[in-house]
Amino acid sequence: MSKKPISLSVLKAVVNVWWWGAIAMTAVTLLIIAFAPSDIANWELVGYASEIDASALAAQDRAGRAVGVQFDGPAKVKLVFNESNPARITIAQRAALGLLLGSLLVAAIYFVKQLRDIVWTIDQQDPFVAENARRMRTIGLLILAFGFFRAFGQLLVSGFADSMIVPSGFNLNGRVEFPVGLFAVGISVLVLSEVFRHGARMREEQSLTI
Amino acid sequence: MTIRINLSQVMEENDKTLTALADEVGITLANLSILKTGKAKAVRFTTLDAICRALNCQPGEILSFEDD
Repeated sequence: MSKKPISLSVLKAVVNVWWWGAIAMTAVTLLIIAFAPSDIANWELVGYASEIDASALAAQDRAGRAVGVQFDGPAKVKLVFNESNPARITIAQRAALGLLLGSLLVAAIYFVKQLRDIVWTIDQQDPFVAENARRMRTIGLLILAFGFFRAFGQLLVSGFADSMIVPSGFNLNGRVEFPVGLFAVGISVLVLSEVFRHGARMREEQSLTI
Repeated sequence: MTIRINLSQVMEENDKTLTALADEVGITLANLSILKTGKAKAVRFTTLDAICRALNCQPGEILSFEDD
C-alpha cells in the first residue's frame, strides 16, 4: 500500500479540529444561552448603516485640493449598550435565541461532517463514490442557504437595531445585501457535485465491466 | 435487466467450477462471480471470447434476451 501524502494528513487534521471545534462551540454557546444571567449590563448589537453623514470626513489629493468622501453602500456599525441601559433577557427570548443559534450551529456541524466523511473516503482510497457526490451537493446547498440566511439575517438585525435606537447622522434601514461571492462558491460546488456524480456512475460502470 | 446470464447452467454442463473457470479465463473469482450472479453492467468481447473457449460454447448459450 502506498504511503499517504502529507497534504492528506494535514487536511484530515484540519477537518478534525474544525469538527471538534464546531461541536465544542455549539455546546458552549448553548450553555451560555441557557445559564447566562438575565440582566446583562454591557451588550452589543450589530447593524448595517446607510446614508451616513460623512461631512466630518475630509480628504485632499496630492495637490492639496479637496476630495469628497462618501460611504459606498451600507457599513457595519456596532451599537454598544452599557450599564445605563442594561438588557433583560426573558425565557422566551432565551429559547428563541437558543433555537436560532442552535439550528445554525447544527447546520455548521452537518456541513463539517460532510467534509469529514469525504476526507475519510479519500483516506480509505475510495473517494469516487455516489455518496461523495451527494455530500458535495449538500455542501453546495448549505453554502447557498447560508448566503440567503446571512442576507435576510442582516436585514432582520438592522431592523431590530433600528427599533431600539434613534440614529443620528446615519440610518439603520436595513437593505438586503446578497453575498455574491458565497453564491458563486455554492453554485460552483453544485456544478462540481454533478460532475462528480457522473464520474462516480462511470466508475461504477467501469468496475462492473467484466 | 432483460439480458440474462446463463453461466451456471453452461458451467454445470461442462462440469466446471467457478475457480477453475476463473483460472482458465484469466479473471478474478470476484469478477466471475459478479458476472455469474448477473450484477455485471457490461462484458468485454475478450472476456466473452475466453469464456466461450473455456466452456466450448457459443455466446448465445451464455447470454439470452428476455422481454419484460
